[in-house]
Amino acid sequence: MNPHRLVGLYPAAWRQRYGEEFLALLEDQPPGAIQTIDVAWGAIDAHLFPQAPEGRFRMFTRIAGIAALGAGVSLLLGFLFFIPNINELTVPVFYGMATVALFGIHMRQLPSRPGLAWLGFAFAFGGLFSGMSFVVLTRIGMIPTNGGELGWLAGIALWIGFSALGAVMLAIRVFPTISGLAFAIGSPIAMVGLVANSAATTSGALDLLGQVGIVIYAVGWLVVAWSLLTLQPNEGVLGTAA
Amino acid sequence: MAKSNPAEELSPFATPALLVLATLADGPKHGYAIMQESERMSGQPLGPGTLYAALARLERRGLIEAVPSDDRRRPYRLTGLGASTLQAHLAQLQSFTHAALGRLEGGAA
Repeated sequence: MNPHRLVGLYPAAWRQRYGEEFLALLEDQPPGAIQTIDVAWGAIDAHLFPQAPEGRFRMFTRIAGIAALGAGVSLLLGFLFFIPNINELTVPVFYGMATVALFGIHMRQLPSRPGLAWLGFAFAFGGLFSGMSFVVLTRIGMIPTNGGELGWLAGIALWIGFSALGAVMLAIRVFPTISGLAFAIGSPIAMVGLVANSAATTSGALDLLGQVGIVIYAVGWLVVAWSLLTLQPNEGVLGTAA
Repeated sequence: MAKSNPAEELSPFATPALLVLATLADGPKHGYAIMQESERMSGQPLGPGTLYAALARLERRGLIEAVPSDDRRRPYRLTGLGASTLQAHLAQLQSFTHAALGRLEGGAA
């Protein structure tokens, strides 16, 4: 493989530090098959365990992004293959929004408390839980507790509160970046889907709106995933995070 | 930047890091020279991906540092911490080797 492409496998922060000299090394000694595998393995290592000062931040946002991707795909799969009962969304949606809020708060306080970077895992686990529990619940036909119309309204208020809090917090931190902007857009998209879905459930008559809401919610997660996976810690206000 | 225990890089499972430190013990070298020297010392080739994974870890923990250079092939050298860490680890290995050889010879007698 072309040395430039091999170097391109590494994270941007890594390339910024080691890219030129690593390219020179690969040009001095063009890699064979085994060396190519070794370089690819090194790239995976650099993605999973970044050694740059902002490495922990990168690792957690990347894991969170992959989790958000899993959540979005799980939600779409659940919708496409199991055609859910709207009531079954209570648990996964609640956890999904709660994790958006946790992640937003986490990102906001990260510059002053970098030691708490591990909180990013709350997003990862919560996001995956949201998507996977959606699939499981729709598969086994389990209906979570439904508190009636008042319960639903309270639930909707909680979801909106959680997601708005998280989205605003994160948007403040990352707004100057394109990926940050995507997160700021993706979260409201997820919220719109959620509200549409909940409105349909409350009225009991707008099934189509509810199903559209699920799809929008899942797409929102996918946008969030993209934004996290492309987020650069040295961009915009995130440059102060390390 | 958080620096963990530098000795972690020299665990029995961190051979590439030990090789890199050992090759730099007699002076600065760039990546290609480190690869050649480490293969000469150990008999095992050190892949470029493995080499730079080790370099990044060692640099982050302050065991090595890049030497300012205009060349694309940036040389690295041991820091004071790197030299003392390497020396301590090699002494430990030497002690272990003596003990193990002693047992082997005692068992064979």
